[in-house]
Amino acid sequence: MIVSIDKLSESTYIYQNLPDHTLDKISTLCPLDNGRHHTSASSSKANTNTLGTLDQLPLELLHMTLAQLEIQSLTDFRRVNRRAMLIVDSIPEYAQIIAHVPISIRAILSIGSGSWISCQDLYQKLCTAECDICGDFGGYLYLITCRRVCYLCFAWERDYLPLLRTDVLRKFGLRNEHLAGLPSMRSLPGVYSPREIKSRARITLIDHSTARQAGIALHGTESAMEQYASNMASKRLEKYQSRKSLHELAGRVAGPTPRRPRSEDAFDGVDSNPKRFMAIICAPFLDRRRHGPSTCIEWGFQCLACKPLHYHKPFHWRRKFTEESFQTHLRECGEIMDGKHKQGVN
Amino acid sequence: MSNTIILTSSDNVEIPVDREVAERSILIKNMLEDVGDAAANEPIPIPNVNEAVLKKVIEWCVHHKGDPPAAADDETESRKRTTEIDEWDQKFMQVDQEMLFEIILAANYLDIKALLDVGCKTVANMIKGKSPEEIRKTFNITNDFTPEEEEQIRRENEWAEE
Repeated sequence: MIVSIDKLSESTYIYQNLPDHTLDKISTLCPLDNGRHHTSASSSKANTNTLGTLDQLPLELLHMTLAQLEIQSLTDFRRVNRRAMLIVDSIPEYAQIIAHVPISIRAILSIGSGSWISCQDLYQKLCTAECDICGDFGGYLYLITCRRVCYLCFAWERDYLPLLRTDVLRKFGLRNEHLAGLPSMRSLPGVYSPREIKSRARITLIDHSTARQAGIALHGTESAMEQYASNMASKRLEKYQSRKSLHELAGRVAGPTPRRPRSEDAFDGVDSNPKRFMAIICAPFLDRRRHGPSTCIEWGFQCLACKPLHYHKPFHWRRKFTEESFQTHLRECGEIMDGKHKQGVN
Repeated sequence: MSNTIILTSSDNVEIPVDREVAERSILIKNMLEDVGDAAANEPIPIPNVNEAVLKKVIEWCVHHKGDPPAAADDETESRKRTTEIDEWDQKFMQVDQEMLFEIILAANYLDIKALLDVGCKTVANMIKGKSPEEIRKTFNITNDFTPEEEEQIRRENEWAEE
């Protein structure tokens, strides 16, 4: 056993200062009130106060009910009175989140996606190790909806590129009235992505995958949606052409030159696209099998043999592993000797 | 084997009910298994639930008679969709708060998971999207925070620069 642990530490590393600039690096996230206001026995009021009619439910059932609430509603409920605050703080799922990954709640409240993510969902995702898309260890959470992701997926997969309102309307043939029901967020000013791109304005971003589903639901099928979107694009282009020729006839007096409507997607710089980092936080995996006084928190580690900047799976240097998935990696790519995978194509 | 059994409510009212319907309650199901068919003709006392509530619970069980039983590990999945309650259940749950809480307590006591789930979701929906003041009004809760404290808590839970 000791041998295998030694071997593990020899052949893996934890990249301490990944310059990723995800949402959790933003310094202006809300501080949270937790622990700042006395609710405990020291305040005599807390014990005498009640939750009104809700007190008819035993604590266990109250916890069950409240854990289903979205983070925003739960946070508002905490402000009802001291006893409400005390009860929320004692919900087992909530207590675990606050104890180990408070940054997740700070981030959700700060970008305003708290109406889309329930306490229960967030806890479930924290207790899931695998990326929702590829099954690798996912060291991150995507917080417009609540999804566990790995770096390679959130930086490259279509679904993790949040969209501007105008993109959603154009791509999926939706109208303004459809937008209210779609999970969205407001970005925080800051620096994002390994390219350290500054973004000052607060922009509203909408979840790609739900927006796309809404478009398909509205138009019946994916191809009908795409057909509609492309028809609309041609119509916009026609209008632009006629406006442009009018403008040319009238000359400068007619005002500014009409702008060509956007018909294609903006350039997606993948892992240097700041939008892909605005809803992402680094988040450890809470190992439920080992909960209790010594909850096991796993951040994942990287493979030393894959460190020399490989850019293709299964050797991609960005891949992260747990003890378990690292064994699978070794079986797939070969044991490590002299810092290299034995049967690897190094 | 009799297909009808009799439940006795806490206020001593005997209510006949289809055995299949009553067995939505895991408590009753286990009880019937324990006593065997011979004793199944005896009325079963339900000491924690009064007639009005028990009738309401049975009404729910009758409507959901044909539902496929939820697998044990289904729990997390079914709890996931927070707001979604089917239309009939929504109507069923349009009762006063007193009755709503009584139904939840009865579902918990009788161990009818799906009904308990609908009940808790209904209460969650009464909280969802409301301001603290609205929540206080809904459930008759007294505020013991000062206005300053409440304002401070609000600010501490918002993006720090707004």
